Amino acid sequence: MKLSASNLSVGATLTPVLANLNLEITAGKILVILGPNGSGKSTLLKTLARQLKPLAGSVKLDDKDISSLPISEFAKKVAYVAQNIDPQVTLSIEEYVALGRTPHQKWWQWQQSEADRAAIETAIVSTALTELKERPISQLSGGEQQRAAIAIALAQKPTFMLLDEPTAHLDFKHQVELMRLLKRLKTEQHLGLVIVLHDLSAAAYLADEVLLLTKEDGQFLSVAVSGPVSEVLKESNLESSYGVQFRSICERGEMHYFVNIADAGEGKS
Amino acid sequence: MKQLIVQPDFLKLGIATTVHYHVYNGILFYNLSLMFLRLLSLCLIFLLLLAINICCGDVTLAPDQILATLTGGQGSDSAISNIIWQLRLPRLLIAAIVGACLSLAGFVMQTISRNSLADPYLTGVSSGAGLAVALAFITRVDLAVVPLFAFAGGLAVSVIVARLAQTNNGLSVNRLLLGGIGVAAITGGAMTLLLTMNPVFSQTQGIFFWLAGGISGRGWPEFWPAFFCTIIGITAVLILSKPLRLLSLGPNAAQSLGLNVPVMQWSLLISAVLLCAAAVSVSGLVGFVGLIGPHITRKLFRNGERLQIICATMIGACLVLLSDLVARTLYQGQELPLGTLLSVCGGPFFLWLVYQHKEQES
Repeated sequence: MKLSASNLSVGATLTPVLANLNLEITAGKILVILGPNGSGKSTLLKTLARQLKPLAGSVKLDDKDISSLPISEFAKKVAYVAQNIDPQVTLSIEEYVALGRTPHQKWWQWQQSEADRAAIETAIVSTALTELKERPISQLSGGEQQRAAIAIALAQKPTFMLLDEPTAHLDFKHQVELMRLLKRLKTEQHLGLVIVLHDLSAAAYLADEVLLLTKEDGQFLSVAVSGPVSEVLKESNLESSYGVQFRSICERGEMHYFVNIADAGEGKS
Repeated sequence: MKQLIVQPDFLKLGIATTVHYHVYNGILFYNLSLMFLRLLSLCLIFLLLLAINICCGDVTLAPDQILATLTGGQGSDSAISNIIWQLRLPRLLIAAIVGACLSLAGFVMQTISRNSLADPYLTGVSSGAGLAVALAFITRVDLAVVPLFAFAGGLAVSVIVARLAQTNNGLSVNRLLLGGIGVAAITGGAMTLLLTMNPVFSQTQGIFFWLAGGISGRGWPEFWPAFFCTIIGITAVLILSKPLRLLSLGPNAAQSLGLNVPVMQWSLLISAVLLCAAAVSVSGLVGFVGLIGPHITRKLFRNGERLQIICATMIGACLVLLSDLVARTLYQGQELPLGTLLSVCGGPFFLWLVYQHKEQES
């Protein structure tokens, strides 16, 4: 199963922010999208998730245009994990994650089947939310809400999962746990993941392929460079994309990237 | 204390009932969950209000007289029978329906717009109904046809407002509400102009009293069409209760879970408009029930859309039954207009509500 984009142009308004993009994501692989703010990462992800219409070109699921698929069929295969849950939601975690089974049920159906219950249970256990099952979402911390958002996507039992900065609200421990969970989802459940990240070290750990977006000054369109981690995450590419100087270190087989925060002129007194 | 949890759904209404029981001195004590108790109390209050509404009015009837008349036993009087069957009963049933419709319509609008200040009239129903009624009076149609005008007018204007709110990604409920406000401003101005410049005073008076909202003189002919629409509306919303829950997460989240958002938004909107138009056609513009009813519902029943739907209808019915009781009995021999009464009492509540809303924002 593959999710592909051919000659895709995306944009939140009628002005494209990316054009003529060709991508292919296969199940069991992770694609990480990197780039500075405004380069179109979220817009691209939302277009792949069918939240936005492509300005040109198409997104295909196994060579079928996704806009021609019924919405519930698409939701059975592709799950989108948004950055935040609406703060007005008063559902408990269990009720919320149960809504993840919607694509597999009839639209009026409230009754949970055995398969539904099992999927919900697995999703809650995988995201370590078992103790908080009864708690209303509005009373959770940012990190717990993030995990709930992933749990509902897991309950959909998709083939592809699209995540928009999933580590945004997480502390170090939960970041590490989440990264390991995502890797397990790839290897054990053969999910295809597309993740927008800010953390380069996490990107290096997770990615099979990286898409780096660069925004030129004064240009509307961003330039995309894609390929394996070792090719794309070179210091020169990163500097032209993010506009700061990077240094990379390989430690215990993991790549880490550092940025000099202090200005060259600043000194320690 | 031992605990027995009755699962999955008690009465399939979405309440998981927890029954605590213990045995003390050989007697079994039950401690039912809060939600169930609240539901029970609500039903009792509703029945009580129905009963009081039959008893009270210009002529106060004793309960035993009523019982006798209803069962046709001894002590029944043809005059009392007339009062009960032709005056009180249709009127209180209409009051219950109006309250139920408005409250449920408000609940649906507030849930799909995720805005607790949404009022069902903001869809344009009141504007359309008001204009249509003014037209009906000016063109001197038969009084019996006025409700039909109101219903058609309300429906027509809401559909126009909804079409204007249509975007590429489906219905923008925010745009709908703003459009409704805009349309209400236009029609409100037009109506005032019409009323002040109309030389025929009887027409002006007729329109004015119709708009002020009230159910005096409404009988069985008005009841049946409204009842029919109410049943359709409530059934539709109950069937759409799962999409309603999904839409409360927001249209984007609902779509990512596989819901056909535009179709469901339109269906729920049409149901709300149907309920609202049915109420307005029979009672004129009765305000605030559509705003207050859902709020009370959410405060008492946190979750479970099906339960909330049923309770919203009952709470709305109770509110209007209570107001109608006060309207009829406060001043002997004179009846206060229902809509005005609810507005006067609802106004302070609405201000308090806005204050609450602001508190939560900051």
